[in-house]
Amino acid sequence: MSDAVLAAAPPATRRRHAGALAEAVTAWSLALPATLLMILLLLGPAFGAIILALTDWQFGAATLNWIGLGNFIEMAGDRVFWRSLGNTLIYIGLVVPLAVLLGLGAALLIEAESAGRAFYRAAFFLPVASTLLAMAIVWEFLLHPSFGLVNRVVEAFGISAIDWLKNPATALPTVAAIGIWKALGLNMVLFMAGLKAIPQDLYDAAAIDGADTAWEKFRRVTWPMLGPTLMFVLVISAIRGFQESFDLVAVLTQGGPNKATEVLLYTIYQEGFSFFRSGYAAALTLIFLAFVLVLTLLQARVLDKRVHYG
Amino acid sequence: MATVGISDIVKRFGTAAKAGPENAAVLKGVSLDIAHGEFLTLVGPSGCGKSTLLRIIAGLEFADQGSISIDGIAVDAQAPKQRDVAMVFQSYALYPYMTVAQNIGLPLTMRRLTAAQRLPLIGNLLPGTRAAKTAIDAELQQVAASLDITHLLARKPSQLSGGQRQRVALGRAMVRQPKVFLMDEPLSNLDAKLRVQMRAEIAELHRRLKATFIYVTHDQAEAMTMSDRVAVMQHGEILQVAPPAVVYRDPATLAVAEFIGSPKINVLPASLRSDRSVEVLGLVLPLRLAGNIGSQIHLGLRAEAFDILPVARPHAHPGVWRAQVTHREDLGAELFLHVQLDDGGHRLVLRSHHAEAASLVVGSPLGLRPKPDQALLFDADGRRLRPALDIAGDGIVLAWDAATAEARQAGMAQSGAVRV
Repeated sequence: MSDAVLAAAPPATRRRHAGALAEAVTAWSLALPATLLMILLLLGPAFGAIILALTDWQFGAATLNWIGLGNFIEMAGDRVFWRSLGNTLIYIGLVVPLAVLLGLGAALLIEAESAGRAFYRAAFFLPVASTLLAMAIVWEFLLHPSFGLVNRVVEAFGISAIDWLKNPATALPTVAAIGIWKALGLNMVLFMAGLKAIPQDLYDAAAIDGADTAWEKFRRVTWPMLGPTLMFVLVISAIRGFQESFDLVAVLTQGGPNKATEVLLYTIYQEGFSFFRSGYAAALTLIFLAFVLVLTLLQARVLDKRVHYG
Repeated sequence: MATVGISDIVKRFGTAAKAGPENAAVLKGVSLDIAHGEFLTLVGPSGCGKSTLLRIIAGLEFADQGSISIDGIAVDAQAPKQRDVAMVFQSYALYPYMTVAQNIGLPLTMRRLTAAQRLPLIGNLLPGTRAAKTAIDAELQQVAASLDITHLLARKPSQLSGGQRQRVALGRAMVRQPKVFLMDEPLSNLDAKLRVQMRAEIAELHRRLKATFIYVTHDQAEAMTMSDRVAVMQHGEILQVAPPAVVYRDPATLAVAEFIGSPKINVLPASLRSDRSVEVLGLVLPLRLAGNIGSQIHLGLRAEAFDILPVARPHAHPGVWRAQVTHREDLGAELFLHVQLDDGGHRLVLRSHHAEAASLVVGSPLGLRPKPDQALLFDADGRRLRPALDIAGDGIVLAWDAATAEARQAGMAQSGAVRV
């Protein structure tokens, strides 16, 4: 029937049909490599993790059982999981706002004065570029209970020395502080780029309109104009925070003392690679993925619209 | 309304340690007095220092030397907001996150509300905030109505066209009723048609507000059409300050003559003969120059400073240049002819009209006679020379004829001497 219609159609229409088809084929063949790679490297493993999360498979085991939501039910009653989730949120809650605010502060200070700009930029960026493993050794020395520099300073104020990483009360804030130190530089560089993009005319207009104090300039021009940068920095900081918490904890505390610094990624690592409970680790991974997904969607959908004026 | 005094302003960029061409002064001692309610335009090629001068008047930039006064009071130590000036920027510089109403109202908000009253939410609870905000709203409504942008008040700048943004920027400047309006190339980002329309609107606005306007542009058409006086600037100096018609007809220097006027003035090399008359490309003009000047001078002729003569027979018209049409620009109401002179290859642009140029196409020969009374003479350094028009003389003659006549006179004198 359709063939008959096609045959009856005037030649021009037929040519247009053929043209549209050829265009579609070209489009798909051009998109094919990227699509295949995405399926192979992103969607495939994610789908695998979803399947795995519904089984009790252990790494290396020959058999596996379909247990439905069993892993998630176990998770709900698992005190380590809840501790780990809570610690992760505290870590993110400390690192993201402080690293963003301090990064913005550093960027504003460096941009305000041209002298030594390159030096300060490099100094603040160094932690981002350096290997965490090497830096962790430096931090262990600094935080050492008997000869660490940090305790020397604290003692000068009349406070007795603290074993920062071994004390359950201070371990998580200490790890977070190192996380801030590491994240600050990248945020600073991103904010500096954002500051450079603000047109000087707006500051001039603000000065003539009467908004000429440092605070008014910041409030009327800098802060609103940094909106898009701020949004990007917030999301990047949160996603990187989730990931970097693992590096720091694995190197400095191994989740101790007594699970005080146990974070989500470290729990996944332990379940998956120390206890070989691959199914359970996959279920934890899905929880982690959900957080990252929410953050990404937040950036893409909600806030992008409110901070871009163009 | 206010007078603005600019006295001997010098501005250098870069540090004193770095001597060199890039450290040269951007403004080299500029002085200018602007009257109450005057529309003064600073015009010049880019990099001439006109925008820097405007920014110094606004207080956004500081002069290395010299002083700015408004209404006779030196304002050099004052911040921009204390000077009571408003500025319109080329980029409009609207706050993109604010609505049009908030943009226009901001100068009033910043001046009339205290820091505490400006706080969001809490500010509204303080005494007086409501009343002040209502007053501000009424005033910005009035300004918006006068600019015909009331329907745009709730929009963000990104939702406006270029012309609408321009009006909002004007509104933000007007709302405070400042003493002086400063405009930094406000029409440069608009398309040609809108630019012509806004030109008339800004001139009309100036008449209505009766405020002092200082307007910066590189477009000589804007300078000519809007201003009471034009200050032509080049290389950090003011070359001439005069009403537009004077700047056009009576330029002080060759640079002014070349910058003002479209199409650009035709400049030909000329020389001064021993009898103080001016010879240019084989013609002697009935002009007499006094004073000690070099023999090499420049002759400037505007596009309309020629008589165009049809060439029927060669040598039919003495005292005429012969040329060929190389290009015809028909603008409807008027017509420009680009011609090349037959000897020497000099190219000229002539203003003509359809009746006169009907038979002239590309390649047509024509005769040209400069109008001596419209000739502008400049010395080798570009300074204006003011010749006396020799009405009693023979009009334009061929240099060869003039030389023969002189020789004959000299011969007669000589023979007379012999006879005596």
